[in-house]
Amino acid sequence: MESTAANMAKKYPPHAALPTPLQKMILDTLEHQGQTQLRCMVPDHRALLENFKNEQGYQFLVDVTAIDHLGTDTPERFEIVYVLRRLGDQPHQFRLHAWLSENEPSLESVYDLWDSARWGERETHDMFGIVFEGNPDLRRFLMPEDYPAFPLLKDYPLTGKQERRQFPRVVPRGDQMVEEEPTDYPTSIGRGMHTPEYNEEVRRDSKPRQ
Amino acid sequence: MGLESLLGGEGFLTTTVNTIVNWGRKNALWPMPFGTACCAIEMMATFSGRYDISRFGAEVVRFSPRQADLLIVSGRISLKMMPVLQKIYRQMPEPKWVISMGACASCGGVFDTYTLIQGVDQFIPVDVYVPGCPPRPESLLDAVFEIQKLVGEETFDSGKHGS
Amino acid sequence: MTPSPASEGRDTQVPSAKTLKKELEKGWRDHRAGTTSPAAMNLVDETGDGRLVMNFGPQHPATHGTLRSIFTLEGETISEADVEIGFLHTGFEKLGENMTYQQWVTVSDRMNYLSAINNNVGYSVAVEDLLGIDVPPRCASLRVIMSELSRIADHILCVGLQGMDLGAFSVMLWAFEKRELVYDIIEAVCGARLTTSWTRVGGIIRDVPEFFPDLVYSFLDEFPPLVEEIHMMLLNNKIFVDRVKEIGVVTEEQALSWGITGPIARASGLDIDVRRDSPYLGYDQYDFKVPVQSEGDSFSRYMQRMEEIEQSLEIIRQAMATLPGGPVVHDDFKTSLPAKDAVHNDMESLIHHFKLVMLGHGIQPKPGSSIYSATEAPCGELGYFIHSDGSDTAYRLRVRPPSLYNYAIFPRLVEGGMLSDAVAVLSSFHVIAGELDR
Repeated sequence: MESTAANMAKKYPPHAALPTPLQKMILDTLEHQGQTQLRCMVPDHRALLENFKNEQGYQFLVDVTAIDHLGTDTPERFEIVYVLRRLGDQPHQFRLHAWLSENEPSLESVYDLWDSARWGERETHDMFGIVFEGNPDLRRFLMPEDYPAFPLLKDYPLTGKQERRQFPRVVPRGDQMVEEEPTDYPTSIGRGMHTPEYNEEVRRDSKPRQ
Repeated sequence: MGLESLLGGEGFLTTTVNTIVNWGRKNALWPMPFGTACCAIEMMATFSGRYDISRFGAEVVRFSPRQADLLIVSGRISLKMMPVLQKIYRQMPEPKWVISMGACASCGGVFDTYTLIQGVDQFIPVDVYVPGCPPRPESLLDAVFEIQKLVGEETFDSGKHGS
Repeated sequence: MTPSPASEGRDTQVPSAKTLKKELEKGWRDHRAGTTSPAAMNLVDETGDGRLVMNFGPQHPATHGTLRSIFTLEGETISEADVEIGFLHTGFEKLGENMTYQQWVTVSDRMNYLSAINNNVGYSVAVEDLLGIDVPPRCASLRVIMSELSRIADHILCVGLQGMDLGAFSVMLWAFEKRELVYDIIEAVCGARLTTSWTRVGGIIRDVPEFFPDLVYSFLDEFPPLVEEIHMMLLNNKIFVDRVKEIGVVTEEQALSWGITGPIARASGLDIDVRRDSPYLGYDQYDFKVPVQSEGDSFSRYMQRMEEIEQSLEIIRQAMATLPGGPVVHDDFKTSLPAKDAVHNDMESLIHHFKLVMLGHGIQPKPGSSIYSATEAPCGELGYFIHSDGSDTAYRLRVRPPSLYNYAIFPRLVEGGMLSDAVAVLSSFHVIAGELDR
């Protein structure tokens, strides 16, 4: 069954209402299953988004994200995706994709147009390393602040690079729990903490000094 | 305290005192739920009306580690959360026991990714592991019974009584 | 690296009361004008004027899940607030690039773990949109019924926890008791209580048992009295009402600008609902109202959720009355597994089964196609953006979590208020950390 989104897309194409200088910035238009997707290059995205919000009334920024096309033959490595929606009498939704080069992965933020871009861009920065200039709060978000990598890049492995094993181990020593730095990286599957040998060791350490 | 050195070894008095102390401890465990994800919801269901954990003594759920003795780690522990877990564990006074509830806390579960700890027992000592994703409330109750058995076998000089 | 306030030493020099009052009023005025300075984001307290920086940490009974807030308190008033998330980050999106389309549905129900079926349905609808296939009507109706049951479970839990945070503990126990009824139905249909993984691309795993109508109708008889009981407990309770009325007001413009969806947006007057605006799974054939409140405070969010529960019950009644017969799986063997006895006896079915199950084959959408598909989860609009490169795993699987965009406004709301109001606002927001962090 054809959804109402597909019907709306046919009636109100967003790029038709753009003024001519901005229309030249749109590289191409794709349609899939009734959803429109416009593509542009990065410095132009700001002017296009301002027009979409102020003149055409796309008041709702649904999502900001990015795609990393490492190794495939696309114009640039990163593709920033903005999902825009207009409410009201002429509801419509479409996506704007902006190509971003990996040599200079920074672009202008749109946080002053939509407040939802503040955290959307912050998360995209955290996952891809893309810098959104002007965003007032571009700290690390989902990863710890001193995490050495950006996880969703295609050259970062799924299981990471051993960051998840670098914690001290809390072991009982006498009557206290102390932290012990790992000397190797033991796998502790099947290794319980209350084996008789271990208890013996703890008992030996916990006798008071004479 | 020097009580065990005065009483010296496994005499009749120490075993009776052991039994009484262990009986008191195991039937009044004060759980501290360290609930992060889906297992936390099943843990909350275990604390609620249908699978009531307070039938077995573990009614007083304390969210402050200083007042608890059973830490239930339920849910996936990520890189950011591990120092928090260690801090909470070290803040708990002795004697304390740890239940690692669910597959994610025991071994990383379904998620072998860059940010999840593949089992909390690499970094804190765990007493009982509960399999399941999430385990049914009856499994968590079974884990509490195992902890009660472990508590029943404690002696004065097992190092857990925090002299 | 941003220094964190919890580890900074402070030089305590208490200023005069007039200076403090002026600064507080200036901050409050800036906040009201929407111009909260970036100093609110800078967590180093350089003035040393006797404020207390308090950590409302990731392990706390009143934070629903692993949410950390850092409050700068003056007395009991919060002058600055900052939040930190990511304590449950699991890398679901990266897993989506390594798992096939059928496999990832098991990961999807660990996101919003209170209503796992909505996540499953949302994901399957997204992949089916990408492929351009339709599910049979029986499957659509069943998905609608289970989604609405799951939505009821989520809302009643939220209301229960809201009551518990504000002191009404019995409400939480009653809510959990009735949630067990929903769990019984979900367990009979899906096999698991919480992490169901019920849908597949093109359908659901199997048809419902024969006693399914009895289960649902007995649920529809037993559940509605609870709504009345909770209203009776909470609405006549002056303490509850005073603690939530006019606390944490989100205006309609703020909801629109901050990307807020779901019950929070509708409680502020923004009339959006994905089920009505761009219907999926046949929602346009059910006659249901979308309740909208106007004040936008925590009390309206409570009333909004209770009214949505009643509308969900109405949808379930209509869907059960019009439940059609027929298959529950899309009959194209490029996406759906054939029946097992056909696999054992028929060569063509065997080849289809092999191609679907072995890695490298399976569901392969058109290369370069991408889709953004949204469904209405209990927290708001759950969107999936899938970009495909023609292989059997997604090239980019992005989840648009409703809780992330709902939670972004939280620091603004609590600044200037009292500490106990922060708890009330957070519990009415119903942020689920699994979905927030993914």
